Amino acid sequence: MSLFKTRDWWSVAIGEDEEFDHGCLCIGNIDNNPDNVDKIIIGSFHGILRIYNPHPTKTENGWSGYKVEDVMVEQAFQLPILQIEVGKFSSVTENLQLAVLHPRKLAIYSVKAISGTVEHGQQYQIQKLYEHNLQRTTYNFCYGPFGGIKGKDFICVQSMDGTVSFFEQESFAFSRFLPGALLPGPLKYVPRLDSFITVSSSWHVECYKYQSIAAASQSPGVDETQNIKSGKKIVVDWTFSIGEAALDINVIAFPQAPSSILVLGERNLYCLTEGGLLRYMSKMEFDPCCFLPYGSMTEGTINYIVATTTKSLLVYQDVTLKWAAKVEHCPVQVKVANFQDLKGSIVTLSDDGHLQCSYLGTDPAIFIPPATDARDLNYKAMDAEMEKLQKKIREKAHKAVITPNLKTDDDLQITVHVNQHLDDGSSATNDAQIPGEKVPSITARIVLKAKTLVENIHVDIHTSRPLTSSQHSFTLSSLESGKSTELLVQFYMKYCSLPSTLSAEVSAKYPSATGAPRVATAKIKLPLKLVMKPVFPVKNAEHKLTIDTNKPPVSLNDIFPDLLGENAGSAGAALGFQFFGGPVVTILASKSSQRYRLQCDQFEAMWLPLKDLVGRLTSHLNRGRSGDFKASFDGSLPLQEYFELIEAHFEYRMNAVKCEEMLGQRASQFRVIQRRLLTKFKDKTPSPLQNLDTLLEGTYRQLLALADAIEDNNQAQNNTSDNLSSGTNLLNYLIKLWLDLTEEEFSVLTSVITPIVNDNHQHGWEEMVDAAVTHLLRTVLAKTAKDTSINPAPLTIPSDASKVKKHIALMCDRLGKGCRLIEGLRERSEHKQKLPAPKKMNITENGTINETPESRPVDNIVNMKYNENKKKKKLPPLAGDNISTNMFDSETFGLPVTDIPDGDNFNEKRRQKKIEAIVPNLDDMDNQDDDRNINQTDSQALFAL
Amino acid sequence: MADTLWEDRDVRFDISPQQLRMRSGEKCIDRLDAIEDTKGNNGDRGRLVVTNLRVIWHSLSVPRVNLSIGFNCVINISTKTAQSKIRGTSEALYVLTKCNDTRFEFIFTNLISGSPRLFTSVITVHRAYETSKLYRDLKLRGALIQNKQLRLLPQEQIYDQINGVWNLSSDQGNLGTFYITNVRLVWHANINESFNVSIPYLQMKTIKIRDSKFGLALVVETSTSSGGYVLGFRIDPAEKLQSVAKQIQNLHKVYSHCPIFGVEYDTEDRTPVAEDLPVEPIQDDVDIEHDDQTDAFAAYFADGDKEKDREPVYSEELGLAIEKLKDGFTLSGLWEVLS
Repeated sequence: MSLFKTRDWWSVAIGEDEEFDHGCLCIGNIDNNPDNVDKIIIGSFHGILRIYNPHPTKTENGWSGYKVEDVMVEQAFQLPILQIEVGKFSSVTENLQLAVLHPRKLAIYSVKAISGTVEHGQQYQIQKLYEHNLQRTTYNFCYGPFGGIKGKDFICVQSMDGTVSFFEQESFAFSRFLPGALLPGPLKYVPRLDSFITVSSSWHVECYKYQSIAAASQSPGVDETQNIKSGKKIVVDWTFSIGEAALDINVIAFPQAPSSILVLGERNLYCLTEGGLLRYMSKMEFDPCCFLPYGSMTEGTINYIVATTTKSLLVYQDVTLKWAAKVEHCPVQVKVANFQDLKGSIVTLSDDGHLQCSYLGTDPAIFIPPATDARDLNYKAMDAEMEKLQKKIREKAHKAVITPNLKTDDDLQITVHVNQHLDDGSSATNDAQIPGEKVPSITARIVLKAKTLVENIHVDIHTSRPLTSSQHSFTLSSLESGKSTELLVQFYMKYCSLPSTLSAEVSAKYPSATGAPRVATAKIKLPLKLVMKPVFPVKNAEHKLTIDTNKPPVSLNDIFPDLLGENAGSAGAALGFQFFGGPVVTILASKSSQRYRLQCDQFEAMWLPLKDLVGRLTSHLNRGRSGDFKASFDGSLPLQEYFELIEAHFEYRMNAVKCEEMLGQRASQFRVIQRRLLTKFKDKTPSPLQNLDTLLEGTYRQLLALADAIEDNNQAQNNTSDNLSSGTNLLNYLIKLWLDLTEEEFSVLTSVITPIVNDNHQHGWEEMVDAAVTHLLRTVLAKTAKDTSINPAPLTIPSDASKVKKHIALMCDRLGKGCRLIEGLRERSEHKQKLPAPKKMNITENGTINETPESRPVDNIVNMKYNENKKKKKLPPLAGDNISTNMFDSETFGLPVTDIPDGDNFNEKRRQKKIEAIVPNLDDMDNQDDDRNINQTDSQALFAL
Repeated sequence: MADTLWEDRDVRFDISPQQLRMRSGEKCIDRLDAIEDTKGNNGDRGRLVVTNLRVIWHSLSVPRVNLSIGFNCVINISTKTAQSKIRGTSEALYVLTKCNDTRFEFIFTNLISGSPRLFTSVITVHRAYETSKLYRDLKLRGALIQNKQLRLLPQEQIYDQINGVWNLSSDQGNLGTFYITNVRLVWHANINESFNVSIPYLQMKTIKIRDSKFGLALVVETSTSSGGYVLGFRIDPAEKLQSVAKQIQNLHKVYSHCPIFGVEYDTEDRTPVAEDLPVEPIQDDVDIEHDDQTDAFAAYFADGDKEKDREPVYSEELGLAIEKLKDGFTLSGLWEVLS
């Protein structure tokens, strides 16, 4: 944020691989020179004490900076220096002395100057006045006129375990434990209160009176020692919770400003009164590393500097930011000092020993200089390059649109090879949940190749139900450039339902060199034999599909060489395949006509074989020749069968909703009974439970049963979703063959009637497809301009699936009449005569589209066939108890149905039956009487107590 | 010789091939052949040479375009992202320097991606330079003596120790001890070890025997860049004074011929760098005299077009020292423009 920088006045890099931290920098007139100029005193963790007297001289080139004679003293101690302070630590003089804290020692030194004839002849002597050896490892210390003594400073040393030891100059006074100390925090003395302020590890600012610390001695008669083991608890004067650890505390005693205590937390700065009340706090948007209140420039305010880890110094007046400037190094401590030629200089010390005396720059750094052109430019070469580029542009300009090539070179490439043969030993044996089948598996080899060094690669394998892979994800720590690695994954069928797709996807996620996330993907095509096995063809089946081609028929044995099984010796006119744990699909090839027929008892099961058949025919017949093979579908669209799939799927969705409603009701009932029971138990005069306990037990069992029912329903819904997905794929594919749709149109169709069945609580497949189809009907498929109004309704679960069925039928009708799915395409000749509308249509599309009279006869013709089917297959409409109980019994329906008290007799009966079914019989419960009695007596005994 | 040593103490632009050549004692530590000077020559491939005294960069297409950055001028080295013409956004080396009160900023980008060698070489050599200052800089009142012994530098050997040397910087003189090593001359007072001086031969200008008010004395004059001190020492008897002076003069001569700069850098398993010239000799039939008037440096200013900081003054408003404001500006005015 800061455009300003600090300006260097005097600086020096000190130390050779030494470290510094907060406490290592101190300012003071340590040699008690009468000119009263500040010196900089620095102690390092390596035990070297240095005193500098910065006095650069002004030359015509600016300030001279660091000079050799600026060093006053450099002395190496054998012990690390933790903290240094300047104060009146001597009992004989009021001169300033130096206190140096080592891990187990506190030493006081005086610094004396002996002048010479020249500047470099001046020598300084460091004399040890006294020292205290300490029992505990120290953390920090503070000093001041404890107890209000005049002209002297006493010292309080805090150790790592929170013990404070007091030293009255040469003599030791006493040691005390701070209450609840876990980790030591910053410690400061407040002269006006004669108190100590610290921030404890419980993140409270705490104030202790010196008197109360001194008075808390264990036993009055015993001599005070440092080696204390126990003590009275010190009473805290006040506490203030700041909820974070504190970096530093400073006590404000400027004459113009109200006396306060500033606490720098890790995120905030707090200003407290001496009584421990908050005056103000300022939240910071950066991590502070140290701070220093240095004065009060306006009456009643405090000026302070906060240094941040982002290498900037911020000057505040109370909560107002007055100035900000960047520094070169991140400071661990900041001070303000008055030197010979400069008042108010900012002294900063970084952890690696960069000491700097600086002042605030006032030139904003906003100018970015233009690169100067003093270099020789090779105009010839530039002209040549310019010409070349322009030529390229001209060439490209003729060709269509110039779009930026977004495809950057992928650092990682994925290639997948699927084995030709199924695995010898199936890895599905343990995992697959298909009873009575030996499910095979197939191995795919995934090869990752990196162009540059790629790290942290995360590879995911995505399969769709019921297929699964032996491992779903891999993590590679790194892949060197040019190297490749191989992963082996087995795929197999896990669940007993129909797969709707035979492809899986591999995606690898990795960070690019610049740290941006990148994803590389690859598709895996799995063979049909992974999900189907050859069986003997079945002669009759309920559903039949006939595919016409424009080529003479081929032997099925030729195009399904890998799926012959026991049919290998046959004529090749008929082949049977069975899904593992599923239906048998039979493929028949006509001998005379150019037709193929698929038949199966389950309509949607024909999808994968059909697709595979057409695919194999295409590659077989187009081999080596121009691709003029064409398959077409001439029969009527199997809409009725498709609608049954929708119905089944929708039924489960409705069931799920109802079950959840019921679960909610039962749960609230459970809670109400619990509450009743609790009040009964709490009552002082015991009253009979009035069978509430039985009711509680019953409701509890209902809850469990309902939860199980929801699980079962979910399973069943997943299976119907898979079926619906297969059915949708099949229908779309048939429409494609029927109308000979272009790829583009087909992609529109699949995105409208999507084969991705993904239900959740917000919206499900039916309403999404309905909305999409309705949109098509009102846009590209609209008949008149009047229909084109677009007024999308919110997506809510419909009460029944009739609307979506109606709209799909209408869409097929429109498509059959030659409408195109993409605007601007030529109208197709009508396929009207084959229109396979399922019902008598009386579609009123928002009251605008009326049934078309000319389609009626066709409908009738088509419907004859469907009606037959209906009679065979469809359950008669629900009427009466009989059937509804049947429904409950039938496993597929899982849990019925409704718990809405709608007054409907039928529903009411149904519900009661259901509850009866769920609620365990009370007679059964009586059989467990023994246990219950014991329990009851127990509880009664408890009450008796 | 310190006054002629500019390699580590100056930032120079577009210098002559003679100046690009290694001086005696200067060693090439690392050479990288695909470095872009992102700030001044963006889009130009160049070579970066790290020696024990400086960093040299020169363009590969126009070798006359070059930079020489002495390590003594470096304030800070950091890595940040920069916009390179050749590599796009990439991690780059930022070198902030100050030379004669002018701050320059340099940005170098390694054109070979994924190699941290640029950063490690420059940063570690600079660190080695910073922590070996006693080899090159005059030091007064330092922590030189430990346990009554001179703390030796890694490449240092004591040649002689002479007791009874009087320092003549105060009226009565101080009795002390000389240590004469292959790098420097050290004197310390016997009664106060912290009163001492360490004079590397590098910083010695003259070593003479002169008459003083204390009689004949050994006078060592230090270079102007180190402060131009004149240090007088008396050794009795006169013959000893003569022999010590001779010894120091000879060692100074040896050192000048083959200086030890003390920058030690472990080259690890790096490809051995031949001790050849960093720049292939250019067959220049005409050597054009440069009058050092190029304005190439303008591109490298760290603070816009500012060459020099203004005076510090005390600000009553902030209570801190600030750079003197330009006429017509106020602190609050400047600050409010920003916020």
